[in-house]
Amino acid sequence: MTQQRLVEPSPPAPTPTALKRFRPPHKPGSRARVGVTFVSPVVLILLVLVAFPTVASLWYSFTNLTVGGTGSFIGFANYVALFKSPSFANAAANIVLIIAASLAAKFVLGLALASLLNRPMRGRKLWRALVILPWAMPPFVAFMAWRLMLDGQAGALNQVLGWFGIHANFLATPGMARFSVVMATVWAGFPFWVIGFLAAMQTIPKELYEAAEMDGATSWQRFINVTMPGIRSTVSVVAVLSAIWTTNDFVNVWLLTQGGPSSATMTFPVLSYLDLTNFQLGSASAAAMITLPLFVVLVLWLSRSGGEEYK
Amino acid sequence: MNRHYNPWVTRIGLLLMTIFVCFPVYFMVVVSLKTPLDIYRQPSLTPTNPTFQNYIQLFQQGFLHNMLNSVIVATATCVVSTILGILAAYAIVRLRFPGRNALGKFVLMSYLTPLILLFIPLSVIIQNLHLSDTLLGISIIYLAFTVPLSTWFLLGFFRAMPPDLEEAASLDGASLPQILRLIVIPMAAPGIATSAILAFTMSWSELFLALVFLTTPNSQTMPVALQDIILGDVQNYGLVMAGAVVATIPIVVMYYFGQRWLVQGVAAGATKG
Repeated sequence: MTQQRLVEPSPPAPTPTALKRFRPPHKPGSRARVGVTFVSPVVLILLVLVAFPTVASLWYSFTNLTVGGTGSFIGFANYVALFKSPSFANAAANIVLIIAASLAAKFVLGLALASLLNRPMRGRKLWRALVILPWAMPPFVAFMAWRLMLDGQAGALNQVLGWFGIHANFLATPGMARFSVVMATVWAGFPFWVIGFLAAMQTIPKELYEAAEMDGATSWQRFINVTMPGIRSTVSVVAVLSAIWTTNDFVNVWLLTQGGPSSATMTFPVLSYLDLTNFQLGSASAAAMITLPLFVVLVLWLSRSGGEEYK
Repeated sequence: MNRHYNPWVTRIGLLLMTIFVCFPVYFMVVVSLKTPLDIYRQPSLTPTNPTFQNYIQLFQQGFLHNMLNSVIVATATCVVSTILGILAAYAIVRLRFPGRNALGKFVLMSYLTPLILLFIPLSVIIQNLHLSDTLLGISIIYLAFTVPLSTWFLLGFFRAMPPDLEEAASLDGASLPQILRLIVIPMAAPGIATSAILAFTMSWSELFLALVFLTTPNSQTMPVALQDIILGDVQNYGLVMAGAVVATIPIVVMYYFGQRWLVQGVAAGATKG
């Protein structure tokens, strides 16, 4: 919009050739030099703070490095110990029980609320601003608020359940604790899905819906045959990004249960952090690295099914 | 077309959505206004004997210092990553130099790389630099996620910008710094503002790395100070919720004003979910 106002009158659309043809001033050699100068701080930061640590993490996971000590190569010993630890089974199971369950719930809720907000209504902008609230607030605040909501005595949910004579120990039993983590995780993350889906729904031409209506399609049929195909590529981008973030989330479990009761809600990030607090850098790295294959698969999937910007 | 939508479905849906979205936030505010005794003795969904006692006590405990730490760290990382992001993204989109496509991919990969894969070697780096437990140290660490975020976000923004004006200015003999200052930055202002808000918010809200790296009360940022209270022996929810409300207000204000651009940014897949 801004751009159109600036290139008046009758702005010519930027053609691919125009994009290619344009070169900022100066001789070709100096342009390349300026380019390299401009990117060098970012390249340096990414190499030192992202690329090197990723490789170093992988290396550490094969050593018995401790805080303040020097580690030596011990092969797969950290991984073997990890597989044998009681927390591992829970952390692995929770990839499905907590992470996949959260993603599924975010998908359903995101789709439902995006469809809702795509209906004609008054004050649409206001409603959209409202739905962003859980996502806009700092995640640590969201999970602290949910810890309070779920509290056995002071919590709001137990007060409401109390009207029906029910009391629930949300964070005290393994099943309920998992359910609670999922619930809070969904609350803190679903707006991203709503906004993503809503943006995709708005790119679907109205004519398609009108045509479907002329053919006598019910609203459910329109949803299945027009809306769903129209948002498919967005669904896969949103799902992959959310899967990466949810798999590696630490704050959700940490602030609600610290992985308890008796490691029922343990995830690999929490496991890794707990190892670090015991100064075991080697096994902490192994616990962090264990989800690397999953990350690689998700990124490959994103680069295949995502749009241009993920290629 | 409108007649095919039952308005009651819309209304009831919006009502349920509002309760779901707002209730935890509302309850957080309610509890922050109750006395510690009332929170447990008189559980209620509305404030009983509302008081600002928690807020006062929080600041008497030195919460202002934690807030200040957060402001310093978030501002520093936001400014650095936004400036470096503008330069790098502009160069990748407009200036030809070898390896710029590969660099674009590298930025995306860095943006997607979870912090959990990085934090252990980062702790070793910071220890070797003798910056453990300092605001400078944590600010440098935060660049690991704010720089990829800003650069990647601005890459998308610059790619969508038509080059016509820059072309015209360059024909008129403008230098590259002039083009950047007078054309690119004003034109990209919404994108730059959005990426700055996102970078600020992420540093402001970051708990995991702060927990690992900031170990003494003097250097702790707001999220760490609050997690110490909520995971402490005496769970004083009133204090925690007062702090949580204080931590949330600046972010919600920024989101409110930056809403239009942020929604586009989110739709493009920027940051957490």
